[in-house]
Amino acid sequence: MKLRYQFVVMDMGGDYSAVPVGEDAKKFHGMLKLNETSADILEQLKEDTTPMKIHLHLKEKYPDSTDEEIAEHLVKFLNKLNHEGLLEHITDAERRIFIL
Amino acid sequence: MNFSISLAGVNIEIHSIHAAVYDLCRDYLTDRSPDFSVATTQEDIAFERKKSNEEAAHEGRPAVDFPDDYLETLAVYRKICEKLLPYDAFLMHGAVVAQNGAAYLFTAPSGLGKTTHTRFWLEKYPEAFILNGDKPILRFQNGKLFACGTPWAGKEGQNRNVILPLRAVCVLFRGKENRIEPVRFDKIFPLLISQTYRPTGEAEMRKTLELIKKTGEGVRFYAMFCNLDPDAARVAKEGMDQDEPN
Repeated sequence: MKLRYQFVVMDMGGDYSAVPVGEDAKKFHGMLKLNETSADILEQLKEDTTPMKIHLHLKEKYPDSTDEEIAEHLVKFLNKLNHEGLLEHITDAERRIFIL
Repeated sequence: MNFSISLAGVNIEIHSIHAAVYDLCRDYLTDRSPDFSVATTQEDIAFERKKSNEEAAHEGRPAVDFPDDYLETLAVYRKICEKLLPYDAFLMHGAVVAQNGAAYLFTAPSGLGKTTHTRFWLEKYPEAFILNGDKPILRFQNGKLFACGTPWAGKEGQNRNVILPLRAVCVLFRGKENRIEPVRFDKIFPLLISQTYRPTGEAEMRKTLELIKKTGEGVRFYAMFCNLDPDAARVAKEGMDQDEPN
């Protein structure tokens, strides 16, 4: 899976903003307000990746977090992105993490 | 038509197809040599028409068949806003009221009463005026943020060719009673982003976000909950002025 649009992510002083850019991105009228971990996940999704690869990246970056904590945050955030229509190239296996 | 205007302290040469652009910019003409120039084409006008129709569809209202000359004014402003970014200047939707040498920016989603609220200010404070009723330019100069008049000013067209320090940004909400309270930047920056002109390119968007972030360092923010009572103007002004450092 990967992001449907290119995003500019910026630290606004603790919280992060993510705004899509490019002519196509204007179909998405909003912006995302993110914490540091979600901003990190968004960075990972700029290239085609998998939830497992992102999980491993987060595990390495936040060694004090448990697998359950990372998985919970990751699944919740990926669901949010998918709900907003911001993900593409989702495989059938990856689709299973989304709540119908 | 070829002519130059001074906008936010920047001199801009405009090459337009229709005279409507010149007519709009009449109060901003300058003879100074331009810092940059913009030119419009028929494709730019077609782009504005397409965009206008898309916005209408997004908002669920019927599309309006705007004339070419009006659409060209939008195209010119779009090009100007993209080219103003290197001058630390950007467009933030809102109404700027000026009074006693200071500017107050009121921003809110469309239809939330910006025009009504600013009208209350004009009625309450005779010396106040609208610097720009809809699409002001904000510009950082020497570390301070200024609100700049521009002729692009929405339906009412209220504007004045002046540049004043921006004292505060106030977000309007509907409320049962008039009250105003300070708001932290981290609570309000998503709304500021949503009200700011978004360039298409990545570098330009990054610059825009940097400028919005910088507003958080030098400007105070308020949330104003207001009803349709004209006393809202007094509540807003007193609320924003009482925190003014001596």
